[in-house]
Amino acid sequence: MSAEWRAKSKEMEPQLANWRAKLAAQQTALLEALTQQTPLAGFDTERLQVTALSLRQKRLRTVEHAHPCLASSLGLTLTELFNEYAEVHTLPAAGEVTDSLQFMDYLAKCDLLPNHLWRGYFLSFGWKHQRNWWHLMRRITQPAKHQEATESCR
Amino acid sequence: MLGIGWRPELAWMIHKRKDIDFIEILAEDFSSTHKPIEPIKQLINRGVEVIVHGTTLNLGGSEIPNRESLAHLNNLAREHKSALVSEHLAFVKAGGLNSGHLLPIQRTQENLEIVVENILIAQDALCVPLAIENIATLFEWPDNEMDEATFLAEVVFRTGVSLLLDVANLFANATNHKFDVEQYLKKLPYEKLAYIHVAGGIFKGPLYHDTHCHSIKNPVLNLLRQVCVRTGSPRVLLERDGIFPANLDQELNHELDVIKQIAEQKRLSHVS
Repeated sequence: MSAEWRAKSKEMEPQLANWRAKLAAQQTALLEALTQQTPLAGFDTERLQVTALSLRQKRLRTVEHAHPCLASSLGLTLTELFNEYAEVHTLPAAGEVTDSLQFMDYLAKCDLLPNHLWRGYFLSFGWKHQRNWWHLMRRITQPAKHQEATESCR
Repeated sequence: MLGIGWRPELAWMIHKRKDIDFIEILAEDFSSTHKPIEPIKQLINRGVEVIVHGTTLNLGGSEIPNRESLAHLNNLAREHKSALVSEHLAFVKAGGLNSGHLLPIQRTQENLEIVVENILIAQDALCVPLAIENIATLFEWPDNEMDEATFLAEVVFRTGVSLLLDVANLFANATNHKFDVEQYLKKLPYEKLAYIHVAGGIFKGPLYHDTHCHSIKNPVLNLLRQVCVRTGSPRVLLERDGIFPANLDQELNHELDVIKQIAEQKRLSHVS
């Protein structure tokens, strides 16, 4: 950074801090509108909706890319399930890969993860959640009941 | 000079193509401790230049650039012997929320000061020069105080960073926000142009979506021609980030041939 800018920046510090706070509020409001798919004063509502949809599709593409077996197993249901998930889960700060792992967790929690993928999920990272150990026991001891639970969760 | 965005799915195609002069790697796809992976190492040994391309530095955000992100870019640049790092004039997070994609900033004098400070801080921390890219958007902020080209040129002028001009993004914005491309092009500081991005996209109704997953549309190539007339011999890089069909090699090789032809034809006419 040039010495000239350093001096200017120092001089403008209080003003910049105010502007940064204002910018943070504006950008947060926009992100809230995009994630909740709600209108925002001054913006073209239709364009915001198109953008929100495009952002959600990008998240879905990452899931498809990260977990191709999940995409091929669930087929068109994947989009439906991901939309249900995205309604209540915003994109985590850690990014889209973490998002796709959280989506797997969500499916496991609702007992919607296909059987042949559950084992891989459990061994990779699902073991970290205590609830999954109970699921594992249930799958081993009561496979029929597990199927009923899956139906009722849908 | 011809470039392409390196993706694992394209590694073999890029390896086979001997006229690739430079590639971009996506910073977010590599860990900081990453030594160049074998396919990239082979390209480096062949003399192919690597540019580290970031998408999450949040230069248009309200917070100053994150030290860890800058250190990550530095590590990748060192490991890959990069001469340049590029990022976007955009924001991607605010108030604990992450957009997952590049979003526009409101073009006001106040925000210009913030962006300039963010970029100067980033450039100060980076071990190589920084280039800033224009983004594609589907919406505009209300009450913008200046047009996109003026804002971009002002950022480049005040920070001294290089310009990465994405002609597909420019086409998208000119289409979606209905502005005159010629007027836009007149305002750009070509002496600071580092390289150009070209990518494919699709129309959905009246809106153009810069998807990086579809073939390049003719108007984007025409725009590339227009820019080449002004710049002489630009370095041009093709981006393809998704939808990789079986005949992709054929499609991308054709696109690369066309891009090369446009850049070289104009180079010859510029020299003569």
